[in-house]
Amino acid sequence: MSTNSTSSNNSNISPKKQVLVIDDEEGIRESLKLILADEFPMILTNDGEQGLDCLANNHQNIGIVLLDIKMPNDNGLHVLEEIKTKYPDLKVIIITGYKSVETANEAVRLGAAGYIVKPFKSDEILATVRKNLTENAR
Amino acid sequence: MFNLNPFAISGLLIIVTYFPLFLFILTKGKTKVARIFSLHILAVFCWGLGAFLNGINTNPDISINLWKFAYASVTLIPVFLYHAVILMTRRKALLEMILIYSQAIYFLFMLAIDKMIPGNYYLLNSIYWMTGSSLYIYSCIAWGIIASTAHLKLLAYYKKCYPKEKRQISALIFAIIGFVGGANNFLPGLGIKIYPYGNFLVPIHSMLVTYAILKHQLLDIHFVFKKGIIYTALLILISSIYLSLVLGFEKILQGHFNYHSTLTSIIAAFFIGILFFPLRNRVQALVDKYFFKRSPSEIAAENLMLRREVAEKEKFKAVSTLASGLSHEIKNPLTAITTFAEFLPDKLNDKEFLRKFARIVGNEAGRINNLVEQLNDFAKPAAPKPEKTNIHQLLNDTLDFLNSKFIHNRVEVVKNFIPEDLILNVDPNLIRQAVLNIILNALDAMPSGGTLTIETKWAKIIAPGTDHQTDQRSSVSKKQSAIICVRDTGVGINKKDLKNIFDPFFTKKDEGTGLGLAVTQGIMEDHGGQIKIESTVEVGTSVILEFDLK
Repeated sequence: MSTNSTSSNNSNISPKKQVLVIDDEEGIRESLKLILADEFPMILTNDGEQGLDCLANNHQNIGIVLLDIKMPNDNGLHVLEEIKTKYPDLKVIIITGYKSVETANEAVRLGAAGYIVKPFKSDEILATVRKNLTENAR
Repeated sequence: MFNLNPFAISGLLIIVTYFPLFLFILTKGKTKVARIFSLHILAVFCWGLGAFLNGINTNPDISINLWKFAYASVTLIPVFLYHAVILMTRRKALLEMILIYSQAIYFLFMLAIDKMIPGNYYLLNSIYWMTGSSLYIYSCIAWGIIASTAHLKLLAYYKKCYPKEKRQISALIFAIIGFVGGANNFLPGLGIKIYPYGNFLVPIHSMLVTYAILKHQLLDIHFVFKKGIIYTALLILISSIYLSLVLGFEKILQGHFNYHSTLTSIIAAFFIGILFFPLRNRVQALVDKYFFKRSPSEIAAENLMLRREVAEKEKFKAVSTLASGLSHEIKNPLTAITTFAEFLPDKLNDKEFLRKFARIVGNEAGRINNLVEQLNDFAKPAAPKPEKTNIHQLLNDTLDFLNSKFIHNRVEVVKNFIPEDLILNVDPNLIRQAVLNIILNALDAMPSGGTLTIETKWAKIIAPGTDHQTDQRSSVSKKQSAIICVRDTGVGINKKDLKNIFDPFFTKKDEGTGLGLAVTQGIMEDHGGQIKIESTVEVGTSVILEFDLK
């Protein structure tokens, strides 16, 4: 797990709220960090277990979770279900390479706030995170 | 009244052979050449109808009109043939076409205004036949020139066309015999009083055309026919000829010898029938030989080709599945590469970024390369090439490719591998295909999700025909076989279906080919191994791939 505590300059967003990334792919974690770290403090984790540990210790400071569906030891949808059971108000965005209406529907049914398909655009990630954290701050 | 003479019978034969042929070409032919050729066949049919009506006609007053109809059809026969030949040989011949159609229109016009057939006469006390004018002589010459030129063009094209076209066109060239027979009908119109027996040769033309269509796809008509259809058609044709001969024989007896006897007719019919019986068998044998029968070596070659086709088809299906998995797998490295490339211009002076860039982009590009190489290796249409293969690695790679499918189908994967590496001398691509087929079947068997267990183990053979003693820890050096077991918790297979499970084309799936397990079995046989299936309905299925290590 790695953290980045760069604070935000955006006055609409609480400076304490962090972005939690749960993805087994280093390339994806580092890509999300590149896109978001200038604006938001970030926590990067490799799998569902680490992500849930992080939330257990620090959920009040986390504003949004970016969650991969396909991970070697986890099914992201199970992780999503667990997060929404424990922290129903926490925003979770699914990021996946698997473009399927059924999976998207399932993710929304389980409470995901959004569904982004890889390969994503940096603007798309930034806009989604900004929108969800702004809504949280209101 | 009714006068069924040999000429009328020959007309009847033309009707019964050309009308079905016309309908067949009209409905099955999709090309322009087929449409024009169908007009040619229609023209011959109309001639047959005219000949039949003239043959049975006993009224001299209506004879002229019947002959006008028949001769109009005759005029058009070589015109449509010539047009079809021009299209078939892919020649541009606008001027020729204008000339050919113009002469036909001219002669038809002259026929309509009674300049062609001024009268008739009673030919050999049998038929009211037309008498031709001097214009009629020119139209006969034009007819002969056009028909001959069309066949000469076919002959010239035959020499330079492809083998398949050669076979199609050779039948059409031989069909000239129908034209030669038909040309015989011009003679009585010129005052030469011979009986028009040549008209019996006309249907040979239709038979040769039909043969060329069915056997060699003339006019690009592809017709898959069953033996029963052909035999029925033959029976109808032979019965028609038989009936025509009996009636013709009876008429000859009555006409030439003025002899009337029902008993003689019955005896004649009986003897003609005796002659026809072996003919029917003979024709049936010929049809078998030319359309259905293959020599043992031809059958073997055809089977081999079909097996290869089946294997390729299944492989293509497997490659498609792998390609779909690949497109998913490639998205992760692609995302990282595009994101890092996007930020590169702004971070050229950021040393930490550049270090990460070099490492992550390099690694991710390598991953893409590996994925593509794997698919490429698999797609190669190569003969089986056994090599030392790490089976666990192969299974893991295959499962990775299918990960998105597991998520989609809510299938949990459990791996239960022996602790040491399982190295077998197999063709990795073929074994990957076999495993893939089995896993895809397992996924289909679990539409509402379930558990897929992949297991590897050693099995010690106790005695032939008995069960194995499996041991996950024993050493490889013993006389053993290696086992890959794929177990699902799906709907299972009932005992009745289990018997047919390896039969090609046996499938219970709506979109299945029924070839997956047949191909998998073939792959295992090629490796000296075997495949077994154990299944319980509503519990699940285990597929066991066993590799003998001897």
